Amino acid sequence: MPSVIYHDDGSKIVKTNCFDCHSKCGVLCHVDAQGVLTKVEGNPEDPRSQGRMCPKGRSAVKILNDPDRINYPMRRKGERGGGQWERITWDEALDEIETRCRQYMEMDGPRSIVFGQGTGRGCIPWIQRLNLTVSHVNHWTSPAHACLNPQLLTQMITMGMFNCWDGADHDDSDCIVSWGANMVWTEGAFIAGEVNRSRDRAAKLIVIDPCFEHPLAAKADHFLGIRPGTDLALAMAWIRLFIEEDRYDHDFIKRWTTLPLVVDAETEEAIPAAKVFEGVDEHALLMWDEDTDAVMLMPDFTDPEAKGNPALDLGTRELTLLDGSTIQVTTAWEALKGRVADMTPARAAEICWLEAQDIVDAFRTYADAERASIAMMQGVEEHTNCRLLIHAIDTIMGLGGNIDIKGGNVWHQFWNDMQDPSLTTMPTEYHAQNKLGNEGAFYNNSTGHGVWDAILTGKPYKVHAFIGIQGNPVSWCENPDRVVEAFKAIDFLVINDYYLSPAAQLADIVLPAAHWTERDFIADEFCQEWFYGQQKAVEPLYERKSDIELCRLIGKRLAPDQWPDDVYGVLNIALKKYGITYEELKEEWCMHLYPYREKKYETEGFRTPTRKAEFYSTVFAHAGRKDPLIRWEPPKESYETMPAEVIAEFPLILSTGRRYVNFYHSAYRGVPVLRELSPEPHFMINPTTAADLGIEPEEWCLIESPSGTRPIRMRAHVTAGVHPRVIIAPHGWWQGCKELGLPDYPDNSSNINCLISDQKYDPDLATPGMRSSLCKITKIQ
Amino acid sequence: MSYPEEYKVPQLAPEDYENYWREDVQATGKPKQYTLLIDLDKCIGCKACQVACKIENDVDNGVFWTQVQSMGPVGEFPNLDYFYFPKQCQHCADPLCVTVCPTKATYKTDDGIVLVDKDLCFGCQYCIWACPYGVRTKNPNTGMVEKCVLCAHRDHEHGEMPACVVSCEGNCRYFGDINNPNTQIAKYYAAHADRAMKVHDQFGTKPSVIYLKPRKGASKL
Repeated sequence: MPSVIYHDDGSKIVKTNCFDCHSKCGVLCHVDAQGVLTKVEGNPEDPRSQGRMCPKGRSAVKILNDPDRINYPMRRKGERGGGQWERITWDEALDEIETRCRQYMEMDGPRSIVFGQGTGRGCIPWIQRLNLTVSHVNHWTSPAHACLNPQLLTQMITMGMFNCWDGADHDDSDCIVSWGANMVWTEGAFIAGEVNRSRDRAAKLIVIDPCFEHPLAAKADHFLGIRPGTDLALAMAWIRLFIEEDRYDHDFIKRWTTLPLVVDAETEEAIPAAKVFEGVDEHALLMWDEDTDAVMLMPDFTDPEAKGNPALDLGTRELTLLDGSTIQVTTAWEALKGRVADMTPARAAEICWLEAQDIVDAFRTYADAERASIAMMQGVEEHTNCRLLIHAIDTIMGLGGNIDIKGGNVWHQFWNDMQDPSLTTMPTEYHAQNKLGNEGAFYNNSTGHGVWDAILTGKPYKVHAFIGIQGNPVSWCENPDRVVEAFKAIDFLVINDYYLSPAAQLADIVLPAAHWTERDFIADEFCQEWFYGQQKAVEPLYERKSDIELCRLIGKRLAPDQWPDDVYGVLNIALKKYGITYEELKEEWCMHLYPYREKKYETEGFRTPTRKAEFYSTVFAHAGRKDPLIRWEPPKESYETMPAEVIAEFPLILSTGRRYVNFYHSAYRGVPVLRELSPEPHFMINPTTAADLGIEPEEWCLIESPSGTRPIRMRAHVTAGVHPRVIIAPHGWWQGCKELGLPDYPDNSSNINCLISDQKYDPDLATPGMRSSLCKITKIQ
Repeated sequence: MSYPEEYKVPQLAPEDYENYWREDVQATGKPKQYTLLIDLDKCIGCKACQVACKIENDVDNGVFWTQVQSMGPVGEFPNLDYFYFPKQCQHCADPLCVTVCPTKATYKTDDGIVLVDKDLCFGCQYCIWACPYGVRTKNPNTGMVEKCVLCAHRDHEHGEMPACVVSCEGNCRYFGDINNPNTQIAKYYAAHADRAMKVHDQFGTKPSVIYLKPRKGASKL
């Protein structure tokens, strides 16, 4: 079936996928005989979105033709950030990039060039490839430390799969849990249909969120209006309830997880089998066989012949080692029980500002459902304790028996292939992945913070150039004033984007980026079982080029043998393992590359060192917190951790980054049909708190934090939808809207990330506390 | 072709793309009443309808033919009521706006839709005062009064849906001839009639838009 439908009058319908967010909904682009995009509608053939379409996608024609778009390569004239530009050709731009980068590479090595991105618009592996082929080190810089990677990394480490986000199977679920997620907005055209269909089937709905102005909060069977950053205590209480009420999936926990591992009763370290048995692999581990009441090698149940009945509730036993010594041992399960022992519903309720009975009721709804899915997102990620929290939620999925089953959290193979070394050229050896910034032991790239430091201090080595492809670090990064400082100091800054963002305003060279309607690409992330040929509907307007073409052009200049001669060649690298070409994918538009099969782990095992779901993690045991299990840990900037005088001055909790339904991070505030829906930056404040502070609705206020570099300005949205001690404030505000007469917000004056510390991180994942910091509000006199 | 047949995904025939958003139903011979039905239980406040309406009808900045309002939250955190209420012209059977219009610019079609004739409207705003629903706006650029036209340029006769219905992310909007039991809207209405309500019925204008009450979050509605 051809993916372009031609009409007699010369017009056509082009099947492609939207990329005004990560959902990549199938769309039909109507193009007239002159090649002008006239209309975009949802494509009913998309098995996910089924033709539904959100406000951003609907606005594609407006975004394509937005007068604020960058249309030509430009070079800075005069001083940096002075707003003076001269138009140059693409050849001039690429010549200058090549010449200057080669000069820096000769002076201080290829690693002095850093590549960065924002959302990546689907290009993540290609920008990584650029970094690795040009700079030879993995200092690709992105907001992944606060978005997606905390879940992706934690799940890959604990389970060797990524089974939330598009893995949360709402369509077949009997109980949908929205935990720090708002997927009916953020991936609305796709997820809202699924959730509503399931609610028609009387599926239960649990919403765990500090904000009641959540589209599902009022519809939920259980709404837990949690104190930001304490979700870990709630998750631990659920784990305790699973065990106490004996509602967990015994078979799954015994056969398919590391929780029956035999560990030292004192240190909780797993006992190597080589200490007990001769002639076994040095990495082999032990379990306790309930049937023979003796220690045994950990059985691998993917082998149908495997024997053994791993014990969980072992108590403490004495184990004699080969060297004749004896030690006290127990199971990882017993250790987990110890970790959650004091997290009663009552204690969790106190920590989380919830009612104990509500915690128990919601738990029972989840535990009793035959098939239950958990959707989690930035609301669980952007905390300094997020590894422990996501690890705990993974454990809950396992206890509930909901891993890799329909209606639960399913394993989509794409995520295992996404950062394949054949695409990224990333070395598989961790020590060879050389990155800047070591705040997160497991974070697999440079942190922004590490790169800005290197630019400003020359340590651990000099960074001369930053090349940003579709990203605005001044908006996405914690402590953006530091980003501005670094970008003012750097020798060479190149930014490719739709708009002259605050990062682009500081650049030496600005490059015009093509919209999705103008680019040939592959839609794959978040596409579950499917792959799409995301072809262009129109030729790029003016001199815009797609991100992937820019990667290729720069790659061709600086690492020519690693980059093909055209874009299709690049895309074919990704498609090679499926035995298809981009031409074929484009012709089909949609291909069913990953048909879903339940419980793949039964035959393939989990992709972890033990081939089990590692809720006792043999990987987390060795770096970061050096803790294989979960434990309670409050956010680093919280009532529990800050001095009394700081809490007295900053008595409110700040949760930032709640998504808009009409913007994609900092983009599209200049598009009138979208901007009309949210004309100005508003923070949410409870009426009693507002009254105490003398703040009227809509009043302009200052928000400050103990770690902040400056107070920022936003207007008050007074709402009963938040707890009196919680403030919810949005990110991404810099752009005005000329057509509506709305001004810019220059110099980070409304940039909420100015309040977020760049010193307080999750030690495993490098995630800052964007959703759990402290703040105070004052009205502007 | 170098790839396995099972990679392929079922697709429509080329001619079907033109017809997809149409509902082909057997006519009944009864008088038609085109009606919009909105299931508030399913509305997730995404505003896809609002933006789709503006783009489809090229509505000016600052003017809205349909608008999603947040009702609440009301109560004390976390025990609250909250729902979204998409509002637009109710296409009343006895519309006051038609009665008061001095130039007969506002009129009702045989199919039950209330429209404004741009050639006759001179912006006196009587209709804005008369409308109990606050869904008419005087466009500051043209000086004329505008409102939802149920995408009258679309081919309702052959079941083509308005843009707001086509875009709805939550599948909460239905459109069609409510008098014809073969339509989706009539079937959905029949299945959920216990939650059906008309807004401000007491004004006596006989609004035709049917709302279905939220199953939760609207205890006072």
